[in-house]
Amino acid sequence: MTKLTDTHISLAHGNGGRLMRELIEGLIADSLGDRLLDIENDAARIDLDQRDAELLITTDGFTVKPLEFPGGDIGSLAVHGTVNDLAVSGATPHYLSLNLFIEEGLEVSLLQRLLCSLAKAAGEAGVKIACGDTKVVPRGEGSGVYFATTGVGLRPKSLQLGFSHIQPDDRILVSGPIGDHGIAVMLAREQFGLRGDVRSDAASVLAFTRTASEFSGLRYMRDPTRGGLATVLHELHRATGLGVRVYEPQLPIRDQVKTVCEMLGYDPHYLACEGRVVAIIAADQADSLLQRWQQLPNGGRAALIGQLNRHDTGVVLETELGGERVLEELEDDPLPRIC
Amino acid sequence: MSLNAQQWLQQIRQLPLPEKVRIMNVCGGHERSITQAGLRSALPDNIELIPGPGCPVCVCPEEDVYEAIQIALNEEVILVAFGDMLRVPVNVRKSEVRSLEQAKARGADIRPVASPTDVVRIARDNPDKDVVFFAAGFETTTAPVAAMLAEGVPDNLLLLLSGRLTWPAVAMLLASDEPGFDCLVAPGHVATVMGAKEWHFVVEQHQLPAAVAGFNNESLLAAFYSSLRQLLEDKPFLDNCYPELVTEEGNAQAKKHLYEVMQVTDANWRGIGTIPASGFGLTRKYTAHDARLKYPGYQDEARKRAGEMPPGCDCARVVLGKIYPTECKLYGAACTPRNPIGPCMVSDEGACRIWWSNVRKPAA
Amino acid sequence: MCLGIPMQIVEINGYTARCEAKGVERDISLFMLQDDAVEPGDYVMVHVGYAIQKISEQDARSSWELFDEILAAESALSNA
Repeated sequence: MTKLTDTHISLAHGNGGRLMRELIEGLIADSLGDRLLDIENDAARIDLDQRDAELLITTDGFTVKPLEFPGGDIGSLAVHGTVNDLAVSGATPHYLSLNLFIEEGLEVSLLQRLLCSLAKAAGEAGVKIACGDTKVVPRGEGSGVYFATTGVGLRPKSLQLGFSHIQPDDRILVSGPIGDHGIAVMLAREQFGLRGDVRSDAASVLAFTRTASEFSGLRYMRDPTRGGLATVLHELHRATGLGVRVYEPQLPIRDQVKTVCEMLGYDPHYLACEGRVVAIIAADQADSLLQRWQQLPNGGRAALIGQLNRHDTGVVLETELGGERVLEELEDDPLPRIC
Repeated sequence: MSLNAQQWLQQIRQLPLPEKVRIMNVCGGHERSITQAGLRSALPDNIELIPGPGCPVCVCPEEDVYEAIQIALNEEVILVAFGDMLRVPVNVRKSEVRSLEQAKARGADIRPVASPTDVVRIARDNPDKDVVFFAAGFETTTAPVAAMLAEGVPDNLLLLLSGRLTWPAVAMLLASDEPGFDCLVAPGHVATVMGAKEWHFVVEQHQLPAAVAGFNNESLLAAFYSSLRQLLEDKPFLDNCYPELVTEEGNAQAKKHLYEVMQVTDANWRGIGTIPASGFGLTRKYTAHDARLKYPGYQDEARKRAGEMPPGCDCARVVLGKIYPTECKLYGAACTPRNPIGPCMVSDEGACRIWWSNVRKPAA
Repeated sequence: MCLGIPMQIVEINGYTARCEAKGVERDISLFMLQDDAVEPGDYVMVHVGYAIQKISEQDARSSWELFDEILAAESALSNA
């Protein structure tokens, strides 16, 4: 396999000719290693044992900037984002497809780092890259590189999850502190002159979803990404018509995340996470699932944060002082405020 | 002995309160703390916390926002503003550009900033372009803007100034026959800069209980407790419940720069009209940085009508604490957080947005 | 109208101070405190990137506490 010698991606790497072949064989295939199934044919055969299982498919796009941030990069994020969507649906992910949209001028060494990081994440999640495609766009029409993925997984027929299973009095758990990814990326951009080493929570949540799936009282799971925890809680309310009440003292939020929110006037409940699970479970099984989660690696701050009920007319946050505040659906992106 | 928030709450609950007592605060920051801690539902029901004219977004005159939008759309400039100002609506047809955010979506170079120091950096990084800083806000924000100019800025940094003083609006309310509140909680950070002495007139001229409050729950609840007790014992005085920052004189240097760079002028407040000596303008020494002189074509006299809230919108009376948001006929009907009409529903600190997220919604 | 946050000064050069709050750092301007004796270790209240005042060690309280203490002392005296 011929190694790619260029230092920067040029339009020629996307024109179907020799340079493109070297890019695919010499860089992409080389970086993805055993994670990559087949680059010879136009379509790849995948084998899935579908006996007493359901086939699930998902798709996602990744445009994070900067491309690398404390706790992750667009490469590992592409795997985690896709794997997590399958995981919270109760499926075991098996295969991903990968589209690369590379901007002319991107450094090859950076692209290699991102693809190696992607391969490592894929290995940890036990998935293979079944197929892929690469396009190069002219300089100025893409911010370095965008990824797009599709993920395929199998869910045991016995595992029935969904809004329809949710009952009043069910409990709400979250697997770790919220808002880490949103603040980590913002600090990595040194926006508004702020500096700090908050690490993104981007990670696979398979360990959490597999543990939760062992519980008969598990109703539903979701991974809060853009729009944060509050958006997931809103979807719960809208889909079930039930009241959703969460308790501020129980909500795990890192001090650094709270501090940045106080400085700029952001609300941490709406900040993006990339490696958290919100689980809805029967009241009598909530504590045991919480203990199981707290023993998992980076599950130490998992928490029981609230419950569903019949009387609230939306998503209500019970504050430390015993007051109440409605968490509205997110309207606009956060902006730095003076007031 | 200093109490924590729970203890202040207990103290308040033990007070022999009348059937209804209205405490007004004139600071969007207080509103923010009150809402985030859910204080309205934690306090006894007979206490009503009324948001007064203290949120820069709500009181910023419509013609200033319109001016900023037009300059950004029609001139080769970079327009910068604090995030709060980007979504304030102006009264134009839906098809036209209604906010700075919409102007940004149409290609105008508009950037949110978190500090005047960001503005100086942007101006230095773009020497060949004018950087117009749409600077709205009260004294706490206007003083740093003045400090920025006093320290020295590049020539291409221009100011579209819309600064306001806080106490004149309260004075106007108290002078009106029916102020609409029984106690006043004065803004802690304005008093940090300008001094607590600005607020003695509330007690001396109007015999109204008053307290200066900070933004943590302890200080706010201490101020509520103090003003309520002043009312009950008929002993009005100005209680400083934020002593770690507020002094009688405030920050002398900040005021020195403020009045070196700016002068007090009559100013228009959205929905209220002109209040004498309630705004800031640049002094002659700094007129070279006045965006209105460099780009004069965008001041639309016709827009300078008092009370020009969007048609049918009652934000004007809500801003003054005269009516509850629920008494405006658009509230909850045509005007909701999803599709806000008046500025008080757009801004997170606007009274209508506060009421919307206040779980105990008084009957509409 | 004034989102402020207490920060601790880490290092000062000229009018700029590197400040920290719970692990988050920001360069803020001391231009409005230039005549005050402000040094590393001090806490300042920061609004829009400017220190608006040095924070003194007092906690929020109300003058009523003083009144009540005086009243209590007086009533103790009167029935002593």
